[in-house]
Amino acid sequence: MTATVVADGVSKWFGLKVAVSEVSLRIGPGVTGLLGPNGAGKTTLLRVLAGLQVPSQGTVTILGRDPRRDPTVYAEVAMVPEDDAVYPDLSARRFVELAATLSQVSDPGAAAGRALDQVGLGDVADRKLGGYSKGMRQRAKVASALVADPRILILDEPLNGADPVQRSHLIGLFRHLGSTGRTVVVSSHVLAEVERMADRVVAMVDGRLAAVGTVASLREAMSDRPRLVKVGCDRPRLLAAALIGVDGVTGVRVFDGAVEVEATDAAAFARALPAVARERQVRIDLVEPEDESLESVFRYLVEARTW
Amino acid sequence: MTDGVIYDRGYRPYDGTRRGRNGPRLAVVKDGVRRILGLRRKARRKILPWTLITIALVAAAVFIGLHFAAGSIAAGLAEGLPRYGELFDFYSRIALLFIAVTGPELLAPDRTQGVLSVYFSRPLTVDDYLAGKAVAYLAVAGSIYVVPQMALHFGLASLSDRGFLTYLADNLDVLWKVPAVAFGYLLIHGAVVGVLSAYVKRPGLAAAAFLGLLIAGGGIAAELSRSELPAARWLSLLAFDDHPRILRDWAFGIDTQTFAAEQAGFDPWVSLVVVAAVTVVGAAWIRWRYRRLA
Amino acid sequence: MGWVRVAAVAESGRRSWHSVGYLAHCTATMTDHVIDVEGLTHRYGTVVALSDLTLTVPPGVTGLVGANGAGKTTLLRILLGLLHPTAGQVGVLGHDVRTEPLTVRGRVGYMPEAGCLPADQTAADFVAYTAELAGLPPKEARRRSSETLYLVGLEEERFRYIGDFSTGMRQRVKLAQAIVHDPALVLLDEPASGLDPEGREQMLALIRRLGSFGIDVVVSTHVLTDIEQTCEWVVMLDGGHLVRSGPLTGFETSGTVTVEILGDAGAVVRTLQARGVPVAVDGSTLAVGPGGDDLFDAIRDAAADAGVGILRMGRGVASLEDEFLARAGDGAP
Repeated sequence: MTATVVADGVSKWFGLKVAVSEVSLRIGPGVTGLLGPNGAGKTTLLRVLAGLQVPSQGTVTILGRDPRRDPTVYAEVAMVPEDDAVYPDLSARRFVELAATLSQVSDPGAAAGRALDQVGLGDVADRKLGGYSKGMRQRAKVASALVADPRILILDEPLNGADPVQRSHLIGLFRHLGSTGRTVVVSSHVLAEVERMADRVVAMVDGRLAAVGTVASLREAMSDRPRLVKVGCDRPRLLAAALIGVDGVTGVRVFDGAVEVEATDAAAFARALPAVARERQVRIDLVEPEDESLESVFRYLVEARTW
Repeated sequence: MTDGVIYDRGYRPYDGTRRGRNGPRLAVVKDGVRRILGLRRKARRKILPWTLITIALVAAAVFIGLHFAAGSIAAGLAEGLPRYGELFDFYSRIALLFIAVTGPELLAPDRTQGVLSVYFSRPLTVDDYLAGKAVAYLAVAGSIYVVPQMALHFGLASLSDRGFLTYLADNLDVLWKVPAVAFGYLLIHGAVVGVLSAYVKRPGLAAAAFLGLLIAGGGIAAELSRSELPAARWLSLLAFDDHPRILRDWAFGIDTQTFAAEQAGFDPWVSLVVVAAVTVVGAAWIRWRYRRLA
Repeated sequence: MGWVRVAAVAESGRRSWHSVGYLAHCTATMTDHVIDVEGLTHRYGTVVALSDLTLTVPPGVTGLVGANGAGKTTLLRILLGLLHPTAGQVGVLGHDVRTEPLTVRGRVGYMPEAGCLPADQTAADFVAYTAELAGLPPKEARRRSSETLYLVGLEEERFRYIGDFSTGMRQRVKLAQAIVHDPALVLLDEPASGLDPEGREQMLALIRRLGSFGIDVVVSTHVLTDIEQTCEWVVMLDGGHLVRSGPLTGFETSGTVTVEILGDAGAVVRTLQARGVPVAVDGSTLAVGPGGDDLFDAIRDAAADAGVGILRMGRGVASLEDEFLARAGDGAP
C-alpha cells in the first residue's frame, strides 16, 4: 500500500497536557477508522494529520510532501470537524459554492451541485442552513469538503445527529470514496458503523496508538484471549459434554438452550464441530463467534491499559 | 445461631409519599431562595448577595445605634434622625442592587442551560414555576426592606420613654405601611427585572439593562416630561423608579423631593395604578413567554 | 411486571434471548399497554407533524426510530403532556394525557437529548431537587438521589459540581434524574449521544437493566444497532406517519442458511447440490436453501464428510436497518 499520509513519531502537547504521544502511522487509500475513548487525542491527531496543526515533535507527510514546507498540498486535503458552527443565513448551496470558490475550483456552481447530490442534499440545497437538522448540516459540511475533490478526506464524527437513512447513505458514500482511491479517515464512537465503513482501524488510548490493522487481523493479534463461539442446538448438554473432549476447547457453558464454547484454537474447533455433532446426532442450527466484533477488540484494548 | 441473610442492594422502588402540587411548588420556592443567596452553590455566588445583606444589616444597626446615642444625649435630637419613610430610599438602593445581581439568576440560567426541559417534564406547570420564583424573590428581597425597618421599629419602641407597648400602639400604622410600601418597590422592580431576565441570556447583561432602564431611563423620561413635547406630562409616568417613592411619601406623609409625575400634576394614587399595571403586564408577559418555551 | 419477562432478559441483551420469554409475557398481559395512541394528529400551523397515528407500546424496552422531522420529538412532547395534540387520543400508563397531564408526568421520567443540566449545582443536589419537583418529600428526595446516582455509577462524583463533569458523566446524571422518582415509564432521547464506545456499552447495559427494575422504557435514537441490542419492540415513524409498530423479532427472515466454511468449500457444495439443495457460493461463504430445518443437518453432514470446519452458520435475518431503509422511503430530509 502506498501511504498517502504518514505520521512519524508525532507528539502534540498543549502546555502540560500531552494530547498525542509518539504516534507513527501510515495511512493509504481506502477508509481508515479512528477510534478511542473520549479524551484519547483523536481530534488532535486528525487535525495534525490534516496539516491543520503543527506537531510539537515528529513529522507529518501528506502525499510525500511536508505541509509546512509545501503548502500547496493543502489543496488535496479536506477536513470536516466535529463542531456544529455554521452560517445560519447561508443556504447549503451558497455555503458549498463558497467553499468551492475558496478552493479555486473551476465552475464552482456545478461542482457544488455535484457535491450536494453526492451527499443527498440536492433537493433541499437552497434552504438556509439555520433551518436544517443537525444531520443535514453535517452533510452540508461533508459536501463543502468534497467540492474540491480532495484526495484526502478527514472526518471527525461525521454521522453525529444523522438519522438512520442519512447514516446509511453517508457510510455508502465514504466506502465509495475509499474504493475510488481516495484516502478517507473517519473517527466515530459507534463501532458497529466503523466496522462497516472502514477497511482498517486505528485505535488510540490516552494519546498513544493502541492498535492498527483490519478488525480480523487485530482479533488474531489478541492471541492471549481464547475465542468464544455460541452454538445453537437441540440438545445442548449432550453437545457440551462431547465438545469438552475436543482438543483446544478450554471451556463449555450451557446457556439458555445453546452452548457457549471457549477455544484457544478456533480453527481446530471449527473442524471438529460437524463431526462431533453428527456422531451424537445433534442438530446445530447456529454457529456464531461471540467476540469477533470491533466492540470486543476495543474492550480488550481499553482494559489492557489498566494494571 | 440465626440464619444468614444477604440483602439485595439493587434498585428499590419508591412507595413513599408523593406530595400533590404543593410539594413541587415549595421546592421551587426553596430552590429560588437558595439560588438568590448562593446557598449550596459555589462560593463566589454568595459574595454579592451576602455583602449587600450585610450592608443592610450593619446600616440597620448603625441607625438604631444613632437613635440610641442621640436619645441619650438629648431628647429632641433623635427626632431629626431619619426613620421609616426616609430610610426607605437607602434600603431601596441596596435592594435595587440586590435585585439586579440576583434577580436574573432566578430565570436566565434555567433557560440558557436548557434545564427547563427537565423541570417541565415533572408535574410542575409553568404557573407553578413562575409563582415559586416570584415568592422566592419577594421573600428575600422583601426581607431587605422589611427586616431592618422592623428591627429599627422595635428598637425605637424599646428606647421610647413612653414604653414599648405604648409606642407600638401609637405607631401601629408603621406595621402595615412598611410592608405595603416595600411591595410597591418590589412589584415594579420585580416586573422589570423579570421581563428582562425572561429574554436576556447573560445575567450580567440583564442586571446592567435593568439598572440602566430604571435609573437612566427614568431620568430621561423625567426630563422629557418637562419639555414642550405633546403629551409630555404622560412621559413622567415612565419614570418607574419614582412611583414607589411617591407612594412612600404618600403613605408616610413626608415630602422628600418633587418627582416628575407630581410636577406633571398627577395625584399619588396614579402611581398606585401604574405600579399595579406594570406588575400585571409584566407578569402576563413573562407568563406568555414561558408558556411558549415549555 | 411479569417474572417471565424478567427471567428472559439475559445479560447479553441480544434480541434472540428476549423473544421466547417476551412473547409469553405479551399474551399474559395483553391489555397492559404502556402507551395507547389513537388517531393522533398534530399540526404546527400548516405543518403536519403527526398524521393520524395509531399505535400501542407494550411493557418493556421499546425503540422509537424515524428520520429527522418524522415527528419523534413531537410525539415525545405529547406523551409528556407538554403539547396539546390537535386531534386524537393519547393514553400513557392508563391515564389520558389531555385531562391528566400532571399525573402522567408524575409517573414518567424524561431524559432530553440536548444539554439540560445546571453548571452550578452538585449532581446530588440537582437530582434531589428534581425528585422534590416530582413530589417526593425533601429527605426522601435526598435519599433517592444518592441511591440513583450510585446506580448510574456516580457515587464518588455526586458532590461535585455538574459544570466540571465530562460528557459521559453528564449523560449519567441525566439518566439519574429521569429515574429518581421511580417512574413507571422513562422516555430516553439519544441516551448514548456523545459517549465513547465504553460509555455507550455501559449506558445500553443500564437501559436493559431498567426493565428489571420494573421501569418501561422508550428509547429514541438514530443508531439502529443500539436498538437491536436493547429493545424488544420498535416503533418506526416517517414523515409523521406510522410505518411500523411491532416486536423486533418480527422481521421477515429469509429462508436461506448462511454458512462460512473453513477449508475447501467445494466438496460441501457438491455434496449439497447432489442432494438437490440449492447453494450459492461467495468465496468461502455459502447461502444454502431456501429450506426447512433439515438444511442444518445436511450442512453438518456434508461438512463432516468433507473434513472441513464450520466457522459460522445461521439463518439470514434482516437487520433493523434493512427494514428501516426498505420502509422509510428514499431518505428525504
